[in-house]
Amino acid sequence: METLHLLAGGIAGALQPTNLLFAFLGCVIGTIVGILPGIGPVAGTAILIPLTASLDPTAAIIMLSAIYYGAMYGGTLTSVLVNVPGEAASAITCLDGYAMAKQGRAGAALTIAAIGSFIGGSIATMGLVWLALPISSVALRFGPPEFFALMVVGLSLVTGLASTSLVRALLSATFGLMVAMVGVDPVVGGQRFTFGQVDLLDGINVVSVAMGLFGIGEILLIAETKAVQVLDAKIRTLMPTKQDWQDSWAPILRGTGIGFFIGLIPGIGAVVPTIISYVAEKRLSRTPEKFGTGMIAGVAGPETANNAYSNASLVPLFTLGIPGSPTVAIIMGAFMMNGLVPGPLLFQEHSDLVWTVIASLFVGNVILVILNLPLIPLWVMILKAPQSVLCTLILAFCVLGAYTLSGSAFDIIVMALFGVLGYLFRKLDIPLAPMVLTVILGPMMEKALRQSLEISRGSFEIFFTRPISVALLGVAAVFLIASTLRLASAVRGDDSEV
Amino acid sequence: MHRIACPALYLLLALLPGAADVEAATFPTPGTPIQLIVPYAAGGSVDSNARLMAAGLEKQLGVPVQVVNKPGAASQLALSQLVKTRPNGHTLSYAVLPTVVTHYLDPERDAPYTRKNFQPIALQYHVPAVLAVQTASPYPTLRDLVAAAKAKPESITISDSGLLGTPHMTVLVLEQVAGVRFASVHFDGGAPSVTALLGGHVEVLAGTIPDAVQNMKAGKFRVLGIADDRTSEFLPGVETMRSQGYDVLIASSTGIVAPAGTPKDVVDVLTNAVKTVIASEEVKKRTYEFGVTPRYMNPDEYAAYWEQQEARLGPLLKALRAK
Repeated sequence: METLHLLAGGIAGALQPTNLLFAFLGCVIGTIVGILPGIGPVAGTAILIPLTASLDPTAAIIMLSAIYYGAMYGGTLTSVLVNVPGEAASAITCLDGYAMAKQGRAGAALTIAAIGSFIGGSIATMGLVWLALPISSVALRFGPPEFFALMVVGLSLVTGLASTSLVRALLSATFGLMVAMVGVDPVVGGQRFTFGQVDLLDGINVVSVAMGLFGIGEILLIAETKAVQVLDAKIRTLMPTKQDWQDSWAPILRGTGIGFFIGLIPGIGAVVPTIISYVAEKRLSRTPEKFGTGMIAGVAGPETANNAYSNASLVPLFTLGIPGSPTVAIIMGAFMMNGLVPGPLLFQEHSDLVWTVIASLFVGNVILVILNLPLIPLWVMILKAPQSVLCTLILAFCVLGAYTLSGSAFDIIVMALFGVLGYLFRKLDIPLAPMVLTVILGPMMEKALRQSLEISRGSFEIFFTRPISVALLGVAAVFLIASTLRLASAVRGDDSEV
Repeated sequence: MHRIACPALYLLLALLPGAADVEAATFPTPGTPIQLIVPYAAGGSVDSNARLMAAGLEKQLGVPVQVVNKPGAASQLALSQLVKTRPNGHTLSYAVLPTVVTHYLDPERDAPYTRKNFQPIALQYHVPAVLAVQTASPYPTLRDLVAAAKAKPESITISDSGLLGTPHMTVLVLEQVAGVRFASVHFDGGAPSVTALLGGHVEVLAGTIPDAVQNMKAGKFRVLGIADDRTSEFLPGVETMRSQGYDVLIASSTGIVAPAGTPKDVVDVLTNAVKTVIASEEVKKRTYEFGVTPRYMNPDEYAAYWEQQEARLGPLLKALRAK
């Protein structure tokens, strides 16, 4: 009951005009940041940090948090409408979201995503309220071996992203792993595949890869056709149908759970929960073969997961002082600039501020949904623009976005190359998602593996003596065995090419 | 292609030299902005301090000072570009010691510069390194830790922010002065290395002062020693490593550099401006809030400190590579 009392105080604080205004501003800026490709929530919040220095600390933190989860929704818009992920956490939404837009169902996809985001964000915030302190210690049990095991689970999902052929999915995934190897080795500092290029020392930026594969690749494909309109289909309906709702509620709930629990583990990033959610929906679907052709579950699940993730990832910050993602690290910077140190003492020393910020997460999620739902018809209008104008604009924004990543033309080149690759992959019917997955997971998995082995002095026993690690590896094994069995039966059953 | 490129180049050349001719007489050229490169991502510690500095410099110099983030390769990317720019004082960069030293002393990295390619302007602040353990650790003092490492070489795990980062260098120096070997575990940045100690996945944390402050206050960490020549106001009651008999002096020392060949009078103008900004009460207060200690050094002291770090760490890097 004390929690409720504190939360009520927080809500009163969050509803004060100034705080409300900054939550609103944050949602607007976040949506814009999400829409602009390349400028993700990290850059968006970082640019505004100096501005927040002159604000009241509560207002500043409310605004920065709003930008963070606002961007998660903004990224959906471009993924669905033009197949360009506004930020990495929306990359997977391209698969079915854009397919839906092509069928004239962009409005439905965006509405479901907005409502899913709202539900995911709100439930995760409730989790933050009631579970924050008890579960925060669980997050700490995630050391490098557990991390590695979780990445193995992620990798075992690759087969779930296959559409027609397992071999093609594995080819795509392996190529992604090769891309992930580029850069300085994390343990001895040796250079791998850098060809003496200082730009390659940090490896290849996954955002340039995703923008290239999905965005530029799509533009190249459109350039082939003679159609004047990107979409032949009329914009049939803006609202989801009854069937859409029926198909979405379960993915939304599962996405909430996946996003929330992964958000508690520091350092995983917003992309992993979206991929896990997508694959889970595909696995659980009665029509997995239809994924990639405009299944609303493939939008509802991941889009919910990334918002639940971004709200939940504030738990380790508030309770342990651990910034779980780069954006959260910047929000932590805002705390520290105001003389507040996130961590175990924050709840005791600055209880008013913490509860106001938590309450503002609820308020912000409401603002976001109010802000976005009426705008959906407007966004969908974008699709009515002539193809020549639209493609040129997308290209311009992609180039701008890639340049912004690190202020160098190098990322534009990377994006262009992966654009050509994305085009070729589509022509060869090789799926893009497995590659994006391994480009993201590869470096994280390698680091976790090598850190674990440094801790154990080279012994692999470390992965089998820790309960969480064993359990996760078990899950991965089940996934692999299940998909192998499915594959085997497919070989026996019909003319599979494997 | 060439036909297009050439006129553009001429245009560039036509625009540039005008500024060079008058720069010595009047620096900074009125109306010409100064680019202050931050070789790390926006929002980090260097970035926050740089933006504070840029605002102060604008007032001092009367020209716009633009902070430009060029992250990549632990600042090697931006510094490689800086040494190629015109040394007219209008392009400056932040540099962090000893990180820069590791760029060119590590043969694997092969950086296109050494100390001689830079003109130090002023050192702005120090963030000394520390070693910390969990409060209940079996190694309550630095001496106990070293004794344990002697008994079990290469088995006590220490987390750090990454290979050859400031915390890792601290471990290397301690290994040398104490004649022991630890098992270093490299993480990707300071935060995950702190988490590793909190979760008990490693036994010791090598970090910098801000990494340890809050967990020490919360009673979770015990800081074994500060790798500085003086104690810190942020860590009351913690002794320096030197006072405990281990001569380890390592800090992330952050300052502003220009390309070599920058005229002396230009350097003087910049150094004086930086000095004034560091000394202002407002900046002092804000720097303290960022958890770092301002420490000004003029170009000569900065260069001497740089060379001293190079002499200290060079042999260690060589030994590490020879393994």
